[in-house]
Amino acid sequence: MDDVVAPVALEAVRRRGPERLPGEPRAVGYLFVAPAFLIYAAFTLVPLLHAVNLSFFEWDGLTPGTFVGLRNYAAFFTDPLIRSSYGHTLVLIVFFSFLPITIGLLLAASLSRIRIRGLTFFRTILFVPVIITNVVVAVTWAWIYAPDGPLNAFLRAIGLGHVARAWLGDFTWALPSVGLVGTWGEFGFCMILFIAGIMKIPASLYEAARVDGAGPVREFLAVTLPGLRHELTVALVLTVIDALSTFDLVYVMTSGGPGTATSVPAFQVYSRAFLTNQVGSAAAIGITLMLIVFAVTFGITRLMERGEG
Amino acid sequence: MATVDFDHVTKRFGEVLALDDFTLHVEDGEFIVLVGPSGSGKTTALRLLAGLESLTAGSIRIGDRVVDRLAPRDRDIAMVFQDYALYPQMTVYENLAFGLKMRKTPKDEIRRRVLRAAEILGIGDLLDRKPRALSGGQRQRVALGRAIVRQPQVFLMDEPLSNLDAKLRAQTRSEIKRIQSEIGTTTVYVTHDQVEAMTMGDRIAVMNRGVLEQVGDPRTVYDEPANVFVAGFIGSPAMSFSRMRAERRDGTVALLRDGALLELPLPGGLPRLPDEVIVGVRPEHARLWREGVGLVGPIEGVVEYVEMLGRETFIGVAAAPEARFIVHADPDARGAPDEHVRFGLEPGRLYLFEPETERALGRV
Repeated sequence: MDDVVAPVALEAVRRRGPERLPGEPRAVGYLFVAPAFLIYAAFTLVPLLHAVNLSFFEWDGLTPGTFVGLRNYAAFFTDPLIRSSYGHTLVLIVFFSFLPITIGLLLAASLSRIRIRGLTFFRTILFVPVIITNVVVAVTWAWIYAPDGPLNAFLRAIGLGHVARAWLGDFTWALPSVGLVGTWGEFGFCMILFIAGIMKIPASLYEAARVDGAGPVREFLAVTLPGLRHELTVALVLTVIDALSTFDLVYVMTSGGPGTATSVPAFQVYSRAFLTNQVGSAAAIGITLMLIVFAVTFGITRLMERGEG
Repeated sequence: MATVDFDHVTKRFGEVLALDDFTLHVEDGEFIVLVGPSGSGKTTALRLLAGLESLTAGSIRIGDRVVDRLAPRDRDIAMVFQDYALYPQMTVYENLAFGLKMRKTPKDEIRRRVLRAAEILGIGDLLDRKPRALSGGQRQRVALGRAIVRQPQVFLMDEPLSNLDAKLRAQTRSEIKRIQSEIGTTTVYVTHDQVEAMTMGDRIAVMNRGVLEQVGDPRTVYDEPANVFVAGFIGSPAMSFSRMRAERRDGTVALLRDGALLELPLPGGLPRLPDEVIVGVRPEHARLWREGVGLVGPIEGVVEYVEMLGRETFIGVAAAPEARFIVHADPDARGAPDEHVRFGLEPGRLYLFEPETERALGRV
């Protein structure tokens, strides 16, 4: 009897395919994913594919377009306006990513080390910029930066009147001015992320470092920084993406000006698609930007994981 | 190497009194174990010595130096943490070298000391690995090594074996003891495990609720516990306690309860007995009843459970609702729950405690 039963049982095992946890649903899972996927497909995938298609055409948005192959992409290397927008993005990465991460690290390290009254209050205050809508932030800062705005008034009041200028109208200072708003908006996010990360580092590691003879700086380098590897990766990825895809700050504060001094790729997408009727080119810039975001994200993640060994 | 002195040390965390007027002298080169249940203040005492907490009152000396206001790094101590606290991004070598690097030890000296420590601990082939690639036992060794390379005046160990499995723990126990006696560094070792305390300590300090209950060598603490807490905490299985009426008779003392009568010779030097005492009996001094083997009793009771350990068997017996005893029996002893058994106690091995203060009165 056994001889007969055994092969059948084996067959049954074989047919079950990849092992599932007991009680886990089968393919029925796809059914649950379907609604979300349909919405995603309708509003993201289809437009994306449509944009890819558009990027191979020269089209003004009204008359029939002409197929131009990869010419819109080639503009990435030839069109000085596109190149300069990417150049501006590199500057913005410093302001949106490196500065906030550095400030966030310093704040997190000191806020979690020092015991002061009202710590939660300070944390909250420092986090507030993160939760304010970017458009509101942009309008507020445009007012602060205005020629007769509070910043210049302050500078004049402390006798630095010669430094005062139309910050957002200045070819040299417009981009850093926009960038600093990004710094202001991002550092709180980095700080909260790092504080959470530091709280996860075992207290005994800090104590071991103190017994071993490390001062605050060595302690930071030997315990805090390595312990924040994952948080640093997340912060770097998200802030760099923010920098690459900046639009609202630029749109509200400078509209890419003066001239094209603050023009960034996302703003180029907007202005070409809706202002200058170069829809194909706009699509190509958008797709390129997306690929760059993918590549940079992938690169950062790989880089940060590599050191883990 | 140095002596360590806790001088009337008190530590409060807010309302909680973690350590209460703690005074302890540790000899140069001594291995002392602070043992007690959670919340007994043992870890607090160690952390105060390390400088990881601040004193509320009292003073601590390492050698001749008062260290009350010194930062941990200036106390010349090394600490082994319960979770080992190895720097995850550093290799084993870097972990061992870190403390020396912080002290600006010359590179070749660091190398010499690290290799020497690695040799003592048998981790020479792990030096290039990162902690995550090590087993629990190996991490534990690295943590020990980090203390050894420093050549400090005092080793502080905070439950360093509690994350190891039972077998490895027993093995590492004797190894730490061996290394310590080889190196001869004064060691303060904290544990909640009384077996570790008994087997490792030159002396053990039994703590409870922030108070030092008794200090002494393991034998003395085991044989002459100062009070009910120490008697119950040290020893496994634990001592059984039972309240009994005590009557001093002519040359003997009679202990009575629920119809049981134990009449024992009264040793000299036993103070006046109160009318009621707490009687403590270690399992090995309670045996199944047989005539003519010199036991006092018999006491009757109902078997509650039987624990066969292979080499021996322990039988839990309820003689009365609040008089439970653990009785030692031969490995082949049979017994089943709810059976009635009779057992006797070894004269001279009954510990008497004052019922109010729970202090030891003596043995009968």
